[in-house]
Amino acid sequence: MGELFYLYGVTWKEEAQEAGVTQWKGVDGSHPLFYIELGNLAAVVSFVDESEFGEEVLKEKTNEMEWLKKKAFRHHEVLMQLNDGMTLIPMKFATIFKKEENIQHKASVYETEWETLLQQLLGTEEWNVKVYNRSDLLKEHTASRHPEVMKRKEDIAQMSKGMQYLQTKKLDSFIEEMVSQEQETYARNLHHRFKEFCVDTTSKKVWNKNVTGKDEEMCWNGAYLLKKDQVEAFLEQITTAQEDGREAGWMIEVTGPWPPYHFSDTKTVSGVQG
Amino acid sequence: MPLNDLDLEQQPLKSGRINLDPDGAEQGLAQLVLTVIELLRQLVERHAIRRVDGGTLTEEQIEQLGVALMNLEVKMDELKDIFELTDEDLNIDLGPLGNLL
Repeated sequence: MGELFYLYGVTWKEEAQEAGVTQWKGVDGSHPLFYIELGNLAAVVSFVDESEFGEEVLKEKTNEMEWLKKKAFRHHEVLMQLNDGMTLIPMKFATIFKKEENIQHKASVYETEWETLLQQLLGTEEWNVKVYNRSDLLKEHTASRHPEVMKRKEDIAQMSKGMQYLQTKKLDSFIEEMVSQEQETYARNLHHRFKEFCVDTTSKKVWNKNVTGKDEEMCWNGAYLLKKDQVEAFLEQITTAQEDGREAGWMIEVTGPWPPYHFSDTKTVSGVQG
Repeated sequence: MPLNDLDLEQQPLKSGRINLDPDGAEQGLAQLVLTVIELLRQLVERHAIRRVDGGTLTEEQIEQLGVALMNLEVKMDELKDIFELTDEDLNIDLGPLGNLL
C-alpha cells in the first residue's frame, strides 16, 4: 500500500536495458526509473506515492495549476531523456497503475499494436512547425504587387472626396479578403513542401493571439514525423522558407526533436488504470 | 504532451476585453459604449457601400454619403483619442466566435 506505478512509455526490452534507465529520476523527482519486462518489450516506470498520485488525490491535484505545470514539465523532461536513448512510445501524463499485473495485462492486449508502432517509430524524430504571419506586412506586400489593387488605387486618386472615401474602404476590404486567402494558401503550400520529407504528419490546433501572446497571427500548427536522415534537409527547407517569407510577414517556428507525442496513438487515457 | 500545450493559463492580458473594474468604471463604460458605436458605424458603412454598388443612388447622393461617413470616422477617431482607446480596445474578443469587428 502506498506506492503506484507511473508509466512513462513502452520500448524494446534491449533498448531499455542498454539505456540504463535507472540512472534517471521519475516524475516526482525522487523515485528512480526502472523497467518491467513485457516479452520483447519493456514498460518504463517509476514508483509514485499514492498520497500524491492516488486516483482521488489526482483529480484534485490536476486542478492545481502550479502542481500540474511542475509535474507535467517533469513528465516531459523524463520523456525527453528516454526518447534520446531509445525508440519510445510516450504515454500521456499521469498514466498510473496500481499493480504490476495490470501493466502486464495491458501489455498482453496491446502487444502487437505496440510492436508495430515501435517498428514504425524506429529511427524517426518528431518536429513541430508553427507558421505565423504579420497581416500588416502581408497586406502591404500584397497591395504593392497586385495589379488590380494598383489600378484601383490610381482610379481612386482621380475621384471626388466622398467617392474616394467609399472606394478606399471597399478596396481595403478587398485587400483584407485577399490577405486572409493568401494566409491560408501560403501556409498550406508550406505544409505540403515540408510533408515531402516526412513519414507522417498531423495538424495541431491553431491558437489565437490570446494564447500565443504574439502579435503575429498563427496560420498553421503541425507535427511532422521524419526519418533521422531527412531532418537536415527538412530544416534546410524551413530555413529557406523563413528567408523567402520574411518580407511578406511570415515567421516559421520549428521545435524538436520531441518524443513522438503526436504519432503514438495507443488509445491510452491518463488516470489510474486499475 | 508538449510543454507549450500547458501554458494556457498564462494568457497575456491583451486588449479586446472590456475592463470594468470598480476604480475605472468610467473608462470601462467609455470603452463599452465606443465599442457599440464603432460596431454600428462599421455596419452603416458596409451597408452604404452596398447601396453605392447597387447603383440606385445619384452621384450627388453618393458624394454626400461618402463625405458623411468620412466625417463620422474622423469624429470616431477623436473620441478614441479622448478616451485613450485604440482600435484593438474596441474589437472585443468573443471567444470561439472570434473578434467582434
